[in-house]
Amino acid sequence: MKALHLGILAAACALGAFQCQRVLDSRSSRTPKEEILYLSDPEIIRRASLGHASLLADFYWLRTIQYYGSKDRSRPDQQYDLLDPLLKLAVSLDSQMILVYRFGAIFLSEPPPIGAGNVPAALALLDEGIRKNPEAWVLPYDKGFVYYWQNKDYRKAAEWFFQASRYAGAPNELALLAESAMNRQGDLETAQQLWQQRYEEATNEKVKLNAKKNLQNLRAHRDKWTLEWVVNYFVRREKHLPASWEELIQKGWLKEVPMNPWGGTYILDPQNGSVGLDEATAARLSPLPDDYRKNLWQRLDQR
Amino acid sequence: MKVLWIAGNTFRENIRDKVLYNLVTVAFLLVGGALLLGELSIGYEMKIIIDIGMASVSLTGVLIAVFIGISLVQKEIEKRTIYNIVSKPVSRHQFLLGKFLGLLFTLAVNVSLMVMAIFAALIYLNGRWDWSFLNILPATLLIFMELVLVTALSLFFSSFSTPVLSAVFTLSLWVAGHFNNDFLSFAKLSKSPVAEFTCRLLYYLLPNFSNFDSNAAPTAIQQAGYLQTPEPVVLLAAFAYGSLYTVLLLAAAAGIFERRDFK
Amino acid sequence: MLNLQEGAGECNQAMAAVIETIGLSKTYRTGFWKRKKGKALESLTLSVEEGEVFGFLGPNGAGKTTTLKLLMRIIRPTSGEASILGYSIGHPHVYSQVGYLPEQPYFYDYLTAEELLSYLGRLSGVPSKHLASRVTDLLKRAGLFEARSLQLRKFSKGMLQRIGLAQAVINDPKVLFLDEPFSGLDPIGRRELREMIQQLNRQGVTIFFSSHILSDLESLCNRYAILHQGRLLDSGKLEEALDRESQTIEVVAGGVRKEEALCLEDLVQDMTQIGDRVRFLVPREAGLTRIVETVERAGGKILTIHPVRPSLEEVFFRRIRVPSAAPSAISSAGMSGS
Ligand SMILES: Nc1ncnc2c1ncn2[C@@H]1O[C@H](COP(=O)(O)OP(=O)(O)OP(=O)(O)O)[C@@H](O)[C@H]1O
Ligand SMILES: [Mg+2]
Repeated sequence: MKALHLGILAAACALGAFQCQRVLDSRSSRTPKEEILYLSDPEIIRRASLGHASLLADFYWLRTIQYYGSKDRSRPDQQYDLLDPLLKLAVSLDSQMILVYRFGAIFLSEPPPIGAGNVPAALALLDEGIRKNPEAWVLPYDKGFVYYWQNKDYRKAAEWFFQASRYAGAPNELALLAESAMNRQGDLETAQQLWQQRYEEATNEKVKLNAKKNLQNLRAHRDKWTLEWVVNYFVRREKHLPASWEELIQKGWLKEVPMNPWGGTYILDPQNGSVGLDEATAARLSPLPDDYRKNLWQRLDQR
Repeated sequence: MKVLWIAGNTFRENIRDKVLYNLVTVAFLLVGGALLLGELSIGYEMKIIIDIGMASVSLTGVLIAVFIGISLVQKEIEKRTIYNIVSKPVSRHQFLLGKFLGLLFTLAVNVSLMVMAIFAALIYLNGRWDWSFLNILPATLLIFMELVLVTALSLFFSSFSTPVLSAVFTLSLWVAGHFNNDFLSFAKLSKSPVAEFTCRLLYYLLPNFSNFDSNAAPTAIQQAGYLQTPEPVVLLAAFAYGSLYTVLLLAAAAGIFERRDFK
Repeated sequence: MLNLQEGAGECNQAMAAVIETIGLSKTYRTGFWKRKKGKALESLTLSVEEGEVFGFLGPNGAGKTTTLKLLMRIIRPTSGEASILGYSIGHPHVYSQVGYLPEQPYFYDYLTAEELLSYLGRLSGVPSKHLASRVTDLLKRAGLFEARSLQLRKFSKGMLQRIGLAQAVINDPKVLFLDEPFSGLDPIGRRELREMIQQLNRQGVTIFFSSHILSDLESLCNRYAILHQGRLLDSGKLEEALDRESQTIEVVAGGVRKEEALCLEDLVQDMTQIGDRVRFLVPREAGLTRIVETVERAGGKILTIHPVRPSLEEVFFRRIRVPSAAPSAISSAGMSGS
């Protein structure tokens, strides 16, 4: 091969490579965004990763888990300042890590000491996820969840459940869920259903544990309120307070009194007829909005 | 044919120089990672394995491509083994091409074995084989194309420079090639037409390694272990780009090599 | 710079010069900026004909290896051209008929003797079907059959030289270039190599070799060239050169002492007393009769008179020691130096 041939070959290749680069550039997703030239942190990290941003995303995801896990959740004043930035970093390095959005949605929105108590940040993270992952129905679903559970905005929640139900591959029950969220605002059963599903699908142990705690709390409230309703009904009929559970069972008002979810008992105050938990487990009950009680009693009244 | 014999001998040399030993390290990394992640169950185990695996494929590949690539021809000159090749009915182009292909073959074996290791780790985590695992292959091919280009770069530099300088040049171009897109951004931002032209020129002149970035590519998605693959057009264009740039470098290397004295 | 790839010499010339160089020069540039120049070879014009064994002589650094490297395309000439078997050396295919043993050959450490020969045999264009038997044959002839599966990193210097020779002839070359083939060989190896060279030559192989062992050269080659500081000092037929140099006559006389013959000092080249004998070295045509007369007048006796044929070594030293005398010798030999 002569020098001339080599030269011609080289020139042809250069031209071809140039054309290929033009084709690659024309794919809009690959062209750089000029306004973020080294300005935001994730972008610097992405560049420093030399094409392995995804790996760094894993690294930040692990850091997030570590960070959350390192906190003492029994301290009522626990802070989670770094949670939001870490999550943001992870998803900006790999925008397709759905689990990270979902994890963030729960633990950013949950009030302390379980989470950061930052509902707007949770909603922003989910919005970002929904924008980047238009095929993932779980993200609008989670958004509905946050509205339902944290904001008690049942109309918004129903909207988002409905939104999620229209995604390809979304389960059919979502439409029903949207309906019940709309019609029965602050419904124990719906909440239980939401948490139950979360519990079953969770792959992350923190998420699962959190769901379990919420389910236990919901059950304890349901039992407590149901028992209170029975006592109230008894008072209306018999015109006096029951002395003990035994009296209610003997007179056929109750079949039995269940154990509470933490293995303790429900206690009846014979002085005023209120129902509480035994000393050992009482502290584990965390308050729920009164809507739930009203809804439950309404339904029991109708029966 | 002679090109293939030279390539074969180069491959044999690499094997006997224990180049593939890096596989052991990476295999440990993957297996260890898989076992550990299986214990932790933090979610995304498979994705993490794929990401670690891909990074290993790319990094070990680049190291081999640079450090074996620069010594590919230099060593033969240094040890005077080239005397017995060029005095045979073999042209210098054939020799160069043979050495190049030999190293590519080594790299291909290296990459394939690592992909096997990734599959093994995935099977361990998933409990069984899933056809969606194959979706990491396009990204692997892109990485291989990147390695081909890196090899061509080191061969090109070593055709006229010292081994140390060649390694420095190649590695810096590799790093710069990942930041290449910035030249275009600078060009768009710059006020002076000269600066803009220079930036644009550099953008098209330097090898653009971000074309082979796999971070957009192999991410394991979602619970089912579903993997995303790059668009076919992007894949094809990146391939064509890599191949053409490689041939360009080889032609230049051959041109320089033809005029060289071997000590 | 002349482009050898497209240069002249595509076709065979009428006279069958197997190796031909015209004004072949090599200037090495050294130093950091490649500014210093060192002339390793200056305008070498030489031709070697078919069937010759050509001895290439010269002190260290004379440019012998440089010449061979130029012919083997290992380095590029600064100017001049060369052809082998009538083809310009830019044509790779010529080399399928060429064998080459580099100076202090070195081969791939990681290959075994057998693998090396197969590999180089393939590159030389030995047909695959003959290759295996050819390799075995050569290993046996080189005395390396036992070491055939040994990696070359474990080879001794002489063993490397032997494998180097084996690879040089693997393709049954028509022309063989050997750069100091005797170095590193044991006495047995040397004799075997001498026999091999003679045998190949009988088969019509043209052999071009450099050596510092002049006795070997003398017994083997029929033509020679002497190189000094990159210049050709002398070249020609060995027989003719030796005859031409034999212009002295040795006269040995008995019964005389050196002192008695001192008057002859201006006539003789050299005079040595050996016991009761005196040995005179007389230039031809000089007054031989006067010596005879003088010896007899002193009562001595002429024992022998015969012409002396110098060794190649003497020729070599004469050329090298008196470089200024060289040009006339070269022109008289009809060879061009510079
Ligand atoms: N690569 C090189 N760079 C610079 N100078 C060189 C190089 N190779 C050889 N030379 C110079 O060229 C001259 C001729 O060297 P060459 O090796 O041809 O000598 P030689 O006749 O083979 O000597 P010897 O008998 O020692 O083998 C020497 O002066 C040497 O210093
Ligand atoms: Mg030499």
